[in-house]
Amino acid sequence: MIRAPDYAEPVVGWRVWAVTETDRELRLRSLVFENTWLPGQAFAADCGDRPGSIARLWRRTPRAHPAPEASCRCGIYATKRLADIARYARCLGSRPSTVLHRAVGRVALWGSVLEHTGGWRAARAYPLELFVPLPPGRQRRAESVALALTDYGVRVELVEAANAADLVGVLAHGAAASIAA
Amino acid sequence: MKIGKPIEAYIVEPLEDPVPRKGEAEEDRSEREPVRISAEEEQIPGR
Repeated sequence: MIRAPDYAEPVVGWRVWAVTETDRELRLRSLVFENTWLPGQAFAADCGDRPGSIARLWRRTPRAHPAPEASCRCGIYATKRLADIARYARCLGSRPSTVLHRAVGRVALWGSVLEHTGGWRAARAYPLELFVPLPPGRQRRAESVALALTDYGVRVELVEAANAADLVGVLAHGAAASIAA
Repeated sequence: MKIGKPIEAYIVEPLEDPVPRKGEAEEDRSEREPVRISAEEEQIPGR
């Protein structure tokens, strides 16, 4: 039996990405996993609980399942509140030496979606809007990163900030100012 | 990533594809310009 959709609009959350070079192009990559998000293609979740993974030692979930699965931790993560991604903007993530820059953004989530108190885990996602920190003294790199990220076909903003964590603060301040106005 | 405790599961099927059409994402990069804003100018209505 096919289940009818519950919502006809994607859920929108916040994420931080690493920007790395893949096939000679600058691309968004998940901070924690070696997953590259390609322009013009929905990013599809895949459970990382594969044969040989450490997670299998503590397995409580079925061997193979579509992501996200309620009893697993798989799926594409996004937070509800912008402030909640600040801590991830600071984390080194996987293979930090390959990370050229970071980007913060709003992301559309759809397909099977599990809502949590602070965010979501979803089956499919694509960036809606990207913010690239523009640190003093490293403007040329930031500008080239931002230009490359326009390949995703979404709005890209360069924001004067020392790093992605500071950028979150700048965006949060702007949001608070607009609410107060 | 910590996102708290699970609340609810649902199916989302957008009427409009959230992925930009292929032509939009592959147009000449030189035609596009990222928006540049300073910290003072940043305003994000409704976020």
